[in-house]
Amino acid sequence: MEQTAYINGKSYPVIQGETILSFVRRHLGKDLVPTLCDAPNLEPYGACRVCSVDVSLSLGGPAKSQASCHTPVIPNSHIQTDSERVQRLRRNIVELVLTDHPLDCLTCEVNNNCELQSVAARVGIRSVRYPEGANHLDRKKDLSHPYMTSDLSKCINCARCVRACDEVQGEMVLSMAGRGFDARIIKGFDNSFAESDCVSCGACAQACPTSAISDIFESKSVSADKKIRTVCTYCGVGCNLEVAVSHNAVKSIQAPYDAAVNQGHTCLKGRFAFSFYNHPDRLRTPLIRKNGTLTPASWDEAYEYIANELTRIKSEYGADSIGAISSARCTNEENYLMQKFVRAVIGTNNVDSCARVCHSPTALGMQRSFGTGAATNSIVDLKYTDCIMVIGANPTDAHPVTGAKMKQFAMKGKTTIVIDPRRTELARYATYHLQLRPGTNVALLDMLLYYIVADGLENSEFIKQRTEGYEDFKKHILGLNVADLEQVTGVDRNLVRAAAQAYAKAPNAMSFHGLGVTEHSQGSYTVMLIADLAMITGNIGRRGVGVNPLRGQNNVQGAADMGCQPHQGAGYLDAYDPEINKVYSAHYGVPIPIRKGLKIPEMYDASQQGKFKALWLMGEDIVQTDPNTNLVISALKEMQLVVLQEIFFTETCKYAHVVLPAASFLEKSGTFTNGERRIQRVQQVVSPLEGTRSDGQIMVDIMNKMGFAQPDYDPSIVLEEISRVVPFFAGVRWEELGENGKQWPVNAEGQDTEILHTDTFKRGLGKFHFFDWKETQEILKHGKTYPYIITTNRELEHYNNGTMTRRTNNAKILSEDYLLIHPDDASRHFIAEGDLVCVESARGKVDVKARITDEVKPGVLSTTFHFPEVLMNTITSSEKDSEAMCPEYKVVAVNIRKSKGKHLTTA
Amino acid sequence: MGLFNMPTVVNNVETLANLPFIADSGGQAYAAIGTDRSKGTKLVCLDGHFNQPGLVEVEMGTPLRTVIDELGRGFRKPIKAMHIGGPLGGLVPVSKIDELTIDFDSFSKAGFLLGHASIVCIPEEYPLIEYLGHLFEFTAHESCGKCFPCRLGSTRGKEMIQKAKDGNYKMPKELFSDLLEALEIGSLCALGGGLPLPVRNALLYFKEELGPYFE
Repeated sequence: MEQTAYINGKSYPVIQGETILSFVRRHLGKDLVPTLCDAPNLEPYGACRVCSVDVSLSLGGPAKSQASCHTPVIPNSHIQTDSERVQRLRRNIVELVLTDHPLDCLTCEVNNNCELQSVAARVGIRSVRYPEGANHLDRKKDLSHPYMTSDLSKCINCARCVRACDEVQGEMVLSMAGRGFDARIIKGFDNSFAESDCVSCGACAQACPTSAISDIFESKSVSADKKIRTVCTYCGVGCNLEVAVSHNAVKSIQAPYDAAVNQGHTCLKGRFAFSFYNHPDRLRTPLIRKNGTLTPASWDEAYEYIANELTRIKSEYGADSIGAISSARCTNEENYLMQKFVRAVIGTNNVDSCARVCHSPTALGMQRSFGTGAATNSIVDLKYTDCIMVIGANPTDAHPVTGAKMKQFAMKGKTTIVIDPRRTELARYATYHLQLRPGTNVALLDMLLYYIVADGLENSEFIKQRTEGYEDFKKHILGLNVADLEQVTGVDRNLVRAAAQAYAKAPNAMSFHGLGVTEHSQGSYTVMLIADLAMITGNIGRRGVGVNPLRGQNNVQGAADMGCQPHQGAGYLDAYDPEINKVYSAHYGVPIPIRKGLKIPEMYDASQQGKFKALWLMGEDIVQTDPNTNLVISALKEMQLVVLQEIFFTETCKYAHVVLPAASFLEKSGTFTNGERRIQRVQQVVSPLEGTRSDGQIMVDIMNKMGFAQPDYDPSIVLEEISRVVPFFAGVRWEELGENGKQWPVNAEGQDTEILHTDTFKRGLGKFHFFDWKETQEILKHGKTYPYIITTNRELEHYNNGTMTRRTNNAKILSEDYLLIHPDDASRHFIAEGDLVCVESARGKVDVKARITDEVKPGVLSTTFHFPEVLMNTITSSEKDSEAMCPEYKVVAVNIRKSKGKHLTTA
Repeated sequence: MGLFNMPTVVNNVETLANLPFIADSGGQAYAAIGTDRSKGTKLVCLDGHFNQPGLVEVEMGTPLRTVIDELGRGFRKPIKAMHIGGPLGGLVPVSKIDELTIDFDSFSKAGFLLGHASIVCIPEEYPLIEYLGHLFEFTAHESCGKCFPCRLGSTRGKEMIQKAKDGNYKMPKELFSDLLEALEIGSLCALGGGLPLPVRNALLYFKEELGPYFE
């Protein structure tokens, strides 16, 4: 029977266990009961007592005042939200608060957007009657940090910042020190923001009800003209951002609490790293190479030049001598237009995207196993799972908002398995950390699968009903020699067995993987083995389970969905199938090529063979980010036309014939699809910087220039066109996407899908695949000469090649690439902390500063490639995944020695 | 949740001291001691103002007069009130001694609190305003600082009383009463919530002595 309770005399249904505050808010709105220490994304705390209400067990019976935020509703009780006594109590508490608060509202940063101010006004304080007493008004401001600020004279001790740091980010930087009247907020060991371990997520500033903790952008001040909701461009999590705009300039960014993806949280990239957008370095005019020098030109000249050159090259060398690399940073609509331009206007399937260098093995592997190359579940499933397995991913740096949720999961003692060569932040909190040698993922997953089969932990019912190929698979698995694999991976078999049991026995287990899985010569195989793990344990098709790739770029899912790969057009339909070719040709209104197209590494090879003459790049800095820099450069030098859409002058611009100044994500509209297949609206926040155009408009312009009529770039029109060709976008309409978007597949009626493969797999039955581990050619060829293995990773503060983040205050927090090296290796080479180390591979040498740490095992090194000064990809190889051609960034054979720094480039 | 997120029982020594008897003689025998609603015995601590200070154990329901006169052998010097039941217990004027028995009902009906039943005597010549100041100071000192009423209210109360004692300031009655109410019904725990009881007792029974400090 439904239980009820009374609010101000009227009866309302109660959800068992809910607090009085949430009960009242659910029925009568969030403003009926004032609060100070409560916040939407924090646990109830009960400090301020301003939310007190009177509760009696019978009508008119004796009433007790209860802090509604942390008191559960008693069924049939009578709640008075505004009795005279309660009103008096609230007024008296707030008056006490004002005895220790500077009453300088008119000049305060948060004037008119201060919760203390609104609550004081609401409860009707007219004077502070207490005589002057002790106070904390003389506290000094902390302006030490590139982003965070504090003025604790404004602090009301609600501990919202402390709780945000603990419960949302999990960083535990802020705490309450001292007791009683002297209780105060401290950072780290009572030092400044800059000296503390703060990761600048800004959750504390957003949580703070006053201006006690804020940021340099004064994100709580009301000086903005408007606030526009859009989606972050920095990673595949897809955080919603609320951007405050003042006079057509971005003022500050906050995270909306009602965002399905990020619930009021985001990281320092999303919240603070926006000042690149109007940086003086932004490209503002097209550039054409004349007599070897890039020279400013008009848009018309640039288009004229490109169109002439493309026409010439096409007639001289054929359409297949031309290709394009689209951008997973750009919108779905822009990616769609790019592949349409390449296929329908140029007439070739030579279109690829940076998904090639990150998650192409995921798309391929999961398509072979399940039929769909996308995350099976949603991030919200972290709430419903009993076990997470994180393989080759460092989410607290690379996917910070999802990473924070995983860290919370692990810190609560829930089963967390981390498979990574580095002791990542998450690994430190994990139940099991399997610290394998880089390049042995297949061997380790084979061991896990072996123990699940050998210990009889497989889900026979699921295997029987939903899968095929198991018997054959099982035979191979049981034929493995675990002792050999233990030797190969360097991970104790008992630890692997314990992890296998934990994963298999959990009622619901979820796996996540990142580029540590895909960027290997056996990347696609690893993905299929992860799919095997999910199928063998029946962890597919419901809440809290599944295989969930952590997508690197904000729209890497979308770039692939839109057809930016040679073998599959928009919607992953087979570009080489004659029947489907008819569909595409009819859709685009021109004959679409059916000839095989080139993937990115094949384009470089073809160029060196003199067969590939023109490359169009949509914002991809292939010189800094693709592996084997020297090979990339020599391929570019062979080309007769390199067109680059960019927002900054990157390393790749140095080899371009035409550079087109593009608009950043803050200056255009469209949709991004995040790592959980959620199509969300990116909304233009400010007008494009003078002289720049959106990537979508550039595609439209060039198509028109080359005689293919196309309306001006408008995402709603393009999206409508996409919905007619991409089956899983059937019901996607710009105006219906709402604040939180929709997860594909979206059927014709507009219904979206949170969980895939609930009843059947997209391919019918799930397919088991077995693979033996093979040592990478990189080690076989070079391991003897170059005995160390270097693997690549990301840092929280920077994004990929760093063009954007390096032009923000993030660069003040982290200003260079560095090399993680084990103390044993460092001492063997007489390398001290901060020394330059020359890292040499068969391709080349780089110099990078040492950071000595036991995060890596002896023999293993790790580094980032955020900075062009190092050009780390000079040393990476051209080895690639056997199936998807994703480069093997994660295993490079190198040697090291102390260096004098002559291999640093001057960027 | 308690210690290490596990259910946790915290006992004081008095509770544990009862266990041997219960283990020995059974719950029935224990329940037979005391009054209907206050079973068993109570440990009462008598301070140095008694002729025979120390800890005594009495059956629940024992008249307060018996404890003072027989077990404590009376006061050493003139006493005007007793603070019974700990710092958050009630302030019992000597005029009330004959109305009280050592049990929960008796004390709460009379507007006091048995609490842990210790008896701290306030000598005739000791100014009650000093004692009230001490109570606020104690609360301010003990306050953990989490809830707003106790963290701020205990300090503000202490400051007001100090100012009134120093002269040239009289405490506004309404403000003082607002402060007590906020502490009493607004505090998170019994520290801030308990302070108003002895203060109110003092205001009720020692109006004349305290009157000059108020507006």
